[in-house]
Amino acid sequence: MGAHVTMNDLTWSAQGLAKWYGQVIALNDVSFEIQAPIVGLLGPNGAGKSSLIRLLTGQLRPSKGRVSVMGQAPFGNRMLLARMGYCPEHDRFYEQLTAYQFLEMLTRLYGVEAAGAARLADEALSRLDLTKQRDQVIFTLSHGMRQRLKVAQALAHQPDWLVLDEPFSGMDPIGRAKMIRLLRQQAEGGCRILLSSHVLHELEAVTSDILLLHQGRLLAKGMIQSIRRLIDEHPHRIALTAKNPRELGRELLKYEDVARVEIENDSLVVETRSPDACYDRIGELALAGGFQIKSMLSLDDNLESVFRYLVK
Amino acid sequence: MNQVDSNNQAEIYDQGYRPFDGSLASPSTRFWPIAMRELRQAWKDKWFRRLLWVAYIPLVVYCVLVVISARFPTINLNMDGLWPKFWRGQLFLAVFMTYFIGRGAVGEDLRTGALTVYFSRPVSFLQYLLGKWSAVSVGVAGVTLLPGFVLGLFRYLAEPDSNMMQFLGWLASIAFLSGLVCALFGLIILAVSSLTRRSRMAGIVWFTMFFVLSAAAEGISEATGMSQFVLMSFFEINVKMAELLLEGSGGLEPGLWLGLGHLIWMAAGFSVILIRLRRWVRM
Amino acid sequence: MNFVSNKAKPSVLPGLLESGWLMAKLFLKVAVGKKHLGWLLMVLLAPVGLTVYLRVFRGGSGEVLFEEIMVNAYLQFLCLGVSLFWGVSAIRDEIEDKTIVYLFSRPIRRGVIFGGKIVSVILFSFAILSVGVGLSYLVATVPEGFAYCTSKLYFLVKALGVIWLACMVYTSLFGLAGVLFRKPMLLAMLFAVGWEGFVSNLSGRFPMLTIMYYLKSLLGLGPDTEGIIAVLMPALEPAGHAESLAVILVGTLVFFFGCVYLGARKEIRV
Repeated sequence: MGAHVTMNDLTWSAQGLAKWYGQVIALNDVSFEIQAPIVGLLGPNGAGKSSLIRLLTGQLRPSKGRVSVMGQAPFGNRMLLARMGYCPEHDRFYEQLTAYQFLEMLTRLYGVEAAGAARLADEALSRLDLTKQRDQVIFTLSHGMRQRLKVAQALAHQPDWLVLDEPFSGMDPIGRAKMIRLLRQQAEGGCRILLSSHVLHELEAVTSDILLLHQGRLLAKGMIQSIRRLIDEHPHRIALTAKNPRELGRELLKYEDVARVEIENDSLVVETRSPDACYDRIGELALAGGFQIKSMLSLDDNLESVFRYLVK
Repeated sequence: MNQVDSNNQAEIYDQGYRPFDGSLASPSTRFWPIAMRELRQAWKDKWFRRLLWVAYIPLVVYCVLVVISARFPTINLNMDGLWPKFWRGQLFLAVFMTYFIGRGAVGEDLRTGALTVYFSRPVSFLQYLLGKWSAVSVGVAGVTLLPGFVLGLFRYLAEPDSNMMQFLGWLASIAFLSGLVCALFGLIILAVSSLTRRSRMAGIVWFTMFFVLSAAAEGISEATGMSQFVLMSFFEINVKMAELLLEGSGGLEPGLWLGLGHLIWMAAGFSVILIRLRRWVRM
Repeated sequence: MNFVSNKAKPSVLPGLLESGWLMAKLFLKVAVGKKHLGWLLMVLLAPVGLTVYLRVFRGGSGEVLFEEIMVNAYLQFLCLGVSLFWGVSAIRDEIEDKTIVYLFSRPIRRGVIFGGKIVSVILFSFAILSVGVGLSYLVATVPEGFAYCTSKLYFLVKALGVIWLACMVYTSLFGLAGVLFRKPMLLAMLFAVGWEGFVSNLSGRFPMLTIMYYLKSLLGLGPDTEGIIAVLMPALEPAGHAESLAVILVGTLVFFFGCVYLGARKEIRV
């Protein structure tokens, strides 16, 4: 199936999407179209991430506007749901079943015949390192195992779209690293992934394409670095260490785009509104040799800074 | 303004004001928030809430009487007169219900200048009137229609002699009578409320009209032997209509007179409101 | 690890019957796995013990004894209780446990999720109750001889038929309550005890508003005419068989398809 699906088909989109629960507006006039292989959904608590995920996975209907996956509305859309895998945020299972029974049963519900479902269930257990827990009853599993089992049920049937709500929750660092690797492999195999997380550096490790929600509205969309460049009112901060930090700072202050320089011991932090020009300049100064620049680091060209500047 | 990256790889969205572009509620439902406002205001009054409880006591009593009459026919309770007696009692309670909901319905708006607020919105005069009237009607129906239906159902279930046609006849009569009461009481109390900016005064006028006109109508009718004088009282009109429909007493001619009386009272009420609020009339 | 090999993509989506069957299997796996099933089985078989006791210490006609146990223990108490408990929890537990998300994200019709559960509860309840009814019948009639036992078999068949209808209509009703209300158990219990239990034994036409009246009418029984309540109003005769059957079947269809329809259309937030 993957060979016949084109890039344009694998699109998540929304037009004027709004969702309210009584008097509470969860999503307000959200519009986007995403084709990136992996998209991170980011936002503080109550931003509307879970509502958006539920709308994209057909759990809820929009109050207004449209949401579509591959140009089709997901609610009650069986053809779409057959190609989608969803890992919910909550930690709830059919506790009396074993891990294998759980996976096999839920895979059968995709229309896979019994033998195929059995094989896929075992494969999924293997991919998520749960083979030893195959015949263990779910309520005896640890939190990390349960989390992996949730992800396993989402990708056992090899979906074309994968939606993961807080997939790293409860995982240890090794488990998280393995999960990140697994998700990247899925994306390389043609699967489109949307995942939400509160853990910014984990999201950044998986993707640089984000959707940032805040108070039910779409705040920003796109690649993290590109968004960062657009945030004018927060000049970029670059940390440098040099043998002569004061002279270097004095030199840099001659340029109009440099707003501020802070010096401490042998390091200095430069705030500039034109980061690209500043990097070039610093490179030239380093080549000139007078300042002996030892290191250079961008302090806020990252997701946390983007999040902080836009949300707070 | 949204900020867009030169390579179209990112966009930061404007979080400022956006005009509402959603769909508006249908104009036909615009009266309902007006009605709900009046009902919420009435609900705050503890005596209104107590009245609601009290309004169902006669129902319980009549249900007990129905049971006793059905099971012990030797106790002659004369259930033929049950409906008019029940209806008179409920009408009496409806007078109080109308007082609580309707006495300040228009007068308060005149006093506070709320009419300017209402009509600065796309609300027509008729929608405004419908909203106020609906609030009164809901309260009146709560003490006439609902108890009437329950009593009818109870009679049908408890009395072995009753049949489905009779039951449906009761329901239809109760519904019609309740509609008449809602229309009449609603328009009159709104008219009275529109005459004064003080709801207390409107309430006094309402009760005065009720007591005085009822007494006068009954007294003059008996003195002259002409039952048409009952049209003087908006209360007695409804009692007589109930006797006609639920008991079958009277005939076509009294029915026509009663119908005419209803129309006259409703027209009078509506006219008073129209004259008092002519400034805002914008059908 | 090559995860794109051996794709077992379904060529067709799961059909109506297959989805329903999978829902039933899921319910049975979850229900049978529950710890309190053992206690439930004990409660369901308690009337058998009661039958033994009454057979030994009271005697009397086996048919009369079986009818008493059948109506008072199974129909008016256990059938109602089992349908209430499983009918409500089959739907509500799934929603409150949030496991319904797994089902909603599968390509099966939402209505089938609810319909399949109700059908599986009906089958499960009937299976358990019919064992108890059958055993009670044997205990009540066998002591009077096998000939007597076999001659009264029609009554056993009739009783099982009524139990089946009762399971159908009550489970559908309580399943609908599970879809409609956030806290359906209390309402369902009020209905079962307050309405079905009390109103069905009133006189006048009040029992006509209950389901139990029509179920008992199928056994030729009217409302209980003893006690102080019966003094207040004239007793009501049992309804005709055709009328009772029609009411029960129509009620079942309305509740069942109401549950399926609402389950398919209603947004359920977990």
